[in-house]
Amino acid sequence: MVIENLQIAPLGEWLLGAGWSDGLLWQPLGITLLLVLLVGGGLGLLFALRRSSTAPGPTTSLWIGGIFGVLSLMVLSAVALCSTAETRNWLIDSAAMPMFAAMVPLLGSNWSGGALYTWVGVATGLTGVVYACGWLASILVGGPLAGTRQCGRAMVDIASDLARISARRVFALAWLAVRESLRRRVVVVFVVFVVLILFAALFIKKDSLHPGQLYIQVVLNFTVYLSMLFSLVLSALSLPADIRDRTLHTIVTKPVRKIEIVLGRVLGFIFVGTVLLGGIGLISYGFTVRSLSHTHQLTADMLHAKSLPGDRGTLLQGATSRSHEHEHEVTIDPSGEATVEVQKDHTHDLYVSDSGDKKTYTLGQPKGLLQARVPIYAKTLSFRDKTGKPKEKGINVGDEWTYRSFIEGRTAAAAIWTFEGISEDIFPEAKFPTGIPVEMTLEVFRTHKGNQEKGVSGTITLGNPKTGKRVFLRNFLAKKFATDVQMIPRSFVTAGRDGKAETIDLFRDLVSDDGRLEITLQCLEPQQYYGMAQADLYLRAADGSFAWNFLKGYLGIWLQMALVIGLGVMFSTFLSGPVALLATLFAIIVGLFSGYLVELAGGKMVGGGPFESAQRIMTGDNMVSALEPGMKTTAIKVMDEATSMMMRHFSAVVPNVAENDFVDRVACGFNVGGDLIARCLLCEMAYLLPVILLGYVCLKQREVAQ
Amino acid sequence: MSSGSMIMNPPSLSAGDRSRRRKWIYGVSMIVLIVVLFWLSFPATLSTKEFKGQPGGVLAQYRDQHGLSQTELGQIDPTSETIRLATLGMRGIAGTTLWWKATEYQMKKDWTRLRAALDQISKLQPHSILVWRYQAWNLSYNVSVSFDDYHDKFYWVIEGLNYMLDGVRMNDKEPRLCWDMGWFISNKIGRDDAAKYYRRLFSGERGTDGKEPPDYVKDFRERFTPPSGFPPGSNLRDNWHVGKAWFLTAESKIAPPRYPVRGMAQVIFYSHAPTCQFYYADNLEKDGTFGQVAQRAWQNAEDEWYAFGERPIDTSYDLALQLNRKEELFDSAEAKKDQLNKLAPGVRDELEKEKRPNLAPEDRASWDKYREALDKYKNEKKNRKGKKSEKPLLQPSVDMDLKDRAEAKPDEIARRSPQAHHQEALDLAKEIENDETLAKYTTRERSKVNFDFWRTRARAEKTAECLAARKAIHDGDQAFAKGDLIRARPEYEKGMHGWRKVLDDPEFRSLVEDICLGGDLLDVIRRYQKCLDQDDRGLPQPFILQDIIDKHSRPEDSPPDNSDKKVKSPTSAAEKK
Repeated sequence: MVIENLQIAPLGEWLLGAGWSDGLLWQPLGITLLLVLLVGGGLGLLFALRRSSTAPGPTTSLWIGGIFGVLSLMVLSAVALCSTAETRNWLIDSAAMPMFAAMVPLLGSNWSGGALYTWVGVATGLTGVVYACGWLASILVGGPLAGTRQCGRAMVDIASDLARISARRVFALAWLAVRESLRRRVVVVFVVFVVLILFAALFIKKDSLHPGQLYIQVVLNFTVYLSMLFSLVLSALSLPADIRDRTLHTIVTKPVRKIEIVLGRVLGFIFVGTVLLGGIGLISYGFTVRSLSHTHQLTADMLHAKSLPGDRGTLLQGATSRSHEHEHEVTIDPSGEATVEVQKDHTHDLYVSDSGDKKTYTLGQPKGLLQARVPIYAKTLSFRDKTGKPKEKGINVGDEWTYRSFIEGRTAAAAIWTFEGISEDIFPEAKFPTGIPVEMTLEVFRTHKGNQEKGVSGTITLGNPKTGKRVFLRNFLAKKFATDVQMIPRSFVTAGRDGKAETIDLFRDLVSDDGRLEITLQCLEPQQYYGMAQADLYLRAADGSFAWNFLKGYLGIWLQMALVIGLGVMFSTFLSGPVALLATLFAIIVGLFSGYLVELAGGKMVGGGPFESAQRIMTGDNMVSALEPGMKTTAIKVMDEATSMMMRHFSAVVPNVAENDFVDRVACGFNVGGDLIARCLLCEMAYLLPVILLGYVCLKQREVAQ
Repeated sequence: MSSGSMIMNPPSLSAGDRSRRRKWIYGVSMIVLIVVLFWLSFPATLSTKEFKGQPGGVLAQYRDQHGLSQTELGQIDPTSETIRLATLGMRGIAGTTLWWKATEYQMKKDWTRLRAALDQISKLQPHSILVWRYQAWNLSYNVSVSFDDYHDKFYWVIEGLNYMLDGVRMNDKEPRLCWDMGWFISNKIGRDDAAKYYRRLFSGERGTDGKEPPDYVKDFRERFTPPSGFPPGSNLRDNWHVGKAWFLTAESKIAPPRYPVRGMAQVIFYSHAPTCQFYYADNLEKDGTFGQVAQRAWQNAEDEWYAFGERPIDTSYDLALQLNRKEELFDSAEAKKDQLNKLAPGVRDELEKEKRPNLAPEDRASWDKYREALDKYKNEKKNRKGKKSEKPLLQPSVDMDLKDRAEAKPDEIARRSPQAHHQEALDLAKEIENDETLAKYTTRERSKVNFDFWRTRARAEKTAECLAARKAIHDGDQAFAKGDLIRARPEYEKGMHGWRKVLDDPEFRSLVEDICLGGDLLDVIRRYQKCLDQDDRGLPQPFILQDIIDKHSRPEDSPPDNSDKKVKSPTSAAEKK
């Protein structure tokens, strides 16, 4: 059960850069000023555009077209300069860095890492490139003055169209799209899902070690594929079909704007998709909960008594009946406390009732199978090597996947998680009476067999980073690839340095006054290793509602669906149906592998770019040997550099479909946090906005829509 | 207007006629196409008591001819068929993507998703043998060792076996999958580092803590019966016997040309089932079972090995050989050589005298020794003729290179034979050469499976001395494990004396060379040495199993605390050597 990158930066940090809170603009006064400017200026512009009924004059058009043209040429130059490493560095040193430095007081330190600024940069670049292409084409066709004037007029038209969007008309067009979808029997998707769910039991492995994870993954993945397919077909084929059947002509003759047509389609299809997803979500939730729900039988005959040494009473041991391909070992101690063994990620509550001489045992519904843990992750994970020196990373034991680092046993090597923002408010005594639960999933690497019947032992130490006080908590046995829960008591007695017993209060002695707490793990067995990553140890702050988390999983699917609809409608404004379908499909596939594309574009792939790889394949060279110097190699390098440049620009605009995928988190029982959802919603809006605008511009250029 | 359109809609006809004409053309075309399709792909029907089956259309016959139809390959799984159809001809792409994902899941140690991905791959490619073989091996051998607890490890070993079982079900004519089942069950479970625990879990018996065996073991045991069933007398609690049954099933599925022995020499393929019996007998004793049960197990092992030696085996020499025939071929060649000597009296001695000066003095001595042993063997054989003897006669052997240089070749003798018997001598020389070549090939084939060692081992292990020695060592180990070194020491001494007796028998002397047995005995000597350490004594000199120490101990085995011992230890002996 491994999920990478569970840690999500706070929304503000992600959106505006790490040091945004220092920026003057983001102080109350700055924000107020900004809002006044944006709202005031925006509304002013909006009213001005809505009230201007006539087209701009030739001089105004020429001025507007010229200004945009110059700006677009600047953008184009910047894009061109960014294409090679040397010119890019020059541009950064001579223009970007001074500008970054100048903006620091206003926007805060590290502002350039903020997603908002990146988006503004990319959107500006893209607009500049599109405008520059259009402008140059117009100049070629009609000459410099006429071309510039035409472009200026087009810009005003676009702005005017945008300002005049009518919610009523958009709603009417959206409703039309809904009716069209119904006419196309979109409800078949729902039927297909129901049929798939009916036969899902055939595909799902009954004896999985993690049934909850598997059921949720299967159900959500079914939904992902189905929703993608449905939204792809619906969005990419709708507009071309209308153009072919000349239905669109009846619409464009009405007083509607092209932007309203595009927007109406997108919103209409999203509405249909939302309703469908709602229905599918309800069914799949019911299916998951119903399929995993079970209990076991336990009778007195199934338990056998075992006398404890020293007349300490009688222990009852036994196993429950078999259900859902498993059974649980049950132990009832002399005090009557029952322990039901954890099997397949869950346990059951055991209720014992006396009816005369006979005891009746009843097991409750599974506990821990469907959950939504709310973890608090450490701010940092640091290491100490075997001599005790601080290190950024531990040892690599030869794993190809370097997500985890390892520490050697019986040495000074240690892994230290530092938590921030820990306080009694987060862990109130009423809710956490026994202490703070720490959950960890460690990897164990043995260099010798050791004692195979016993896990590799380790130790947990707690520390106050400010006072330097360190307290041994306990030893434990590592459970590889299984979640181990350790409780940190709110107060406990430990041996002090002088050997005397000392009572430690967790929040008073170990959590620093700025809310920091250190948890240190060490392996105790020589030549054995523990492996860990930052997200492998966390404090379990609360348990969210599974139903709510399941809904968030569907929200992720909804975001993916909306993205596909936006892209499909955009492509369908200028491509024929099948081509638009293929183009959207291509964009989604590229979006799914965007990480790979970024890696490829960054020239980080072992074995070089496409041309170098092809050369290596043909000559049978391995991936790391240097190519023979010569003209051929130079040519290959140049071609790879050109491809890499194209890919770099391309990778900046492909949709990151995988980002909205919450399936793993929901399946592995982790709560999908508000920050993550907000970030994905913002990304979606930031992506759909230019996509819809592009669709509108393309539709505007089509003859059919004139 | 195109010519096609002209045929369909000639302008001379009215609209109604054109429509009728079009319908006729469509109708006729459909009938023609249906006939062609029927001829091509009419499915075959199976024969029953009442009906005679039909061979089907061209494609069905072609599939049948090459054994490619689904029913020919194995069972048809509806889920698998549905998934394959649902990929709309993109099965290859889907399979490749899933394989890629599976590799990624394995790298990221996401075992649940890896298992799910492997299931999907196998549903897409149910008749691709390599998929089943590779991924089952991957689960049993690679994924299992990623875990720390032996219970978890064993779960994944069983997962690999379950995966392979699915493969067997889908490809029930394929011998390789059954062979792999045999290999995994016997080798992985029986010889892993955690074999002690695996064997106990596999047996399906309650653990030492009284716990029931895990569910996955129970489930696996419910379905682990091979298609050919278990041979009579099989111990289903023991992995070696279950593995043997699967090897035998694999043997029963060999049906050339479509299902020949692939990927390994036939001699190796057929050796595994009887080898399992050796390991079974060996493990019986390790688990503390001696007496008649163990003796019978070793006797069975010898019998099965003999039966294996009788089986004609195809070799790369384009000959079918029987491993048991080597001794007969040797005797036959020697008898013919004597006959040849009679046809050409004195020629052999004359030729060997000519070759002798070219030999080094030690080679001359070795050759003389061989000749002497050969004469002794022949005399003994002559004396035994017609008498029943329990002990087989050991054939003398000599380095082949020395034989080449020192021996008078039959064709050389024949060439110098008197004119009267010249042709007869030449024919005889050819026969001798043929026998010797076959004997040489048989020796090579035998060496591939350590034939002589296993045969000797079975004969040695079933003897009363060997059984007693094994029992004494086992009792010693029990006492040693409990920390009772005083009781362990005499048991070890008794065991080592027993082994000395066995190894001194000329028939079993070759066992000294064996690494497995040598390693086992070396471990015993180490434990014995620990018993002696209590009294600060070294091994008694001369040590009774010194030849084992000299042969098998390695410098890196040196226990650090033994370096200052005054007397010769297994390690110091090796270092001296």
